[in-house]
Amino acid sequence: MRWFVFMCLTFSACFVQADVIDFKNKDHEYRYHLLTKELRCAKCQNQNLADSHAELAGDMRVIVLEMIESGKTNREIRDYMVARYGKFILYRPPVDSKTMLLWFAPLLLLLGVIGFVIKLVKQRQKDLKPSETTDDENEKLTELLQENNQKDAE
Amino acid sequence: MAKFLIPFVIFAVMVGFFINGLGRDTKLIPSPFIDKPAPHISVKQLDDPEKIFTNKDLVGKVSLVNFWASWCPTCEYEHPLFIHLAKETSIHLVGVNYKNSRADALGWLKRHGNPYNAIPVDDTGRVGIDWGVYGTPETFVVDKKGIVRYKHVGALNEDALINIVLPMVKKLEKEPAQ
Repeated sequence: MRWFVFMCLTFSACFVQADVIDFKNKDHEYRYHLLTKELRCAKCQNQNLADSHAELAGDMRVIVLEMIESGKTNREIRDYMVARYGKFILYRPPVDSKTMLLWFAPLLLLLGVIGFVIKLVKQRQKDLKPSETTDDENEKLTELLQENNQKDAE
Repeated sequence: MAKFLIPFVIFAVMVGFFINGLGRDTKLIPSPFIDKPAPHISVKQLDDPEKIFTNKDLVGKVSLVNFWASWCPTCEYEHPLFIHLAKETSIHLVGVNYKNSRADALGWLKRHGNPYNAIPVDDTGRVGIDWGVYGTPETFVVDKKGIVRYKHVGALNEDALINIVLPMVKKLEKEPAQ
């Protein structure tokens, strides 16, 4: 009995079927997966259309497939969704005035940090380098050394 | 001195971002249709499947277009407000029945009352997607020219109704239809 339950639980997953789609060709299949991955489900907002089990995501996937089959380009399909749900629907938002900060803030931060590190390293090198002596100081040093030698000799 | 201030400046900027984010509904998707013509609609109506509801039916009067379904508990929650609006005002109430069976929808209206002047039927959910609906209930304010002026996501509440929707409808009713 225990084995029976175990087997049922183990293999039940095999019988769960995702919506099986008969793609007309490889290109359609590729584009469908590409688009459903980068379009966001408006209902469960932290999932893309491909992952989401929300009914709305299912409806939106159907539209994506229909549009691919009717010869629409990826751009037209993205625009269709953006027209209805805004740029929110794109997991890869376009670069424009509103998303500028989003796209370039990491780069700015990186440059800032690199600049800071370079400054820090240079400061360190300066601190560690023995300071150069002036001619006056050199003279004084030789004098002192000579005095010292004389003292030693005595 | 300037160096000493840097951490405080960074802190102030961060606080600024946090204050900006406080209390913001992160799930709210702003509608791209505000101040644009209402999206296409051309579907049969619940009470008489022979009658087709189109964008023309939104012209000439200020309408509230409410997306609802009998399986939607939040719709039931907000429903008394629509009943109230139907009784107390002359606002054109359009209730788009979203992904519902005809029998369920009719039964629900019988139980809870029917405040709507027209009930377009969106059995496939296409009208919903065309209007950018991502969860019932959602309510649009459409002006006399058929232009979307406001969208409320989730249950319409007294606060939004009294402070936003009704003043807006009052203002829009004074605007000419053409």
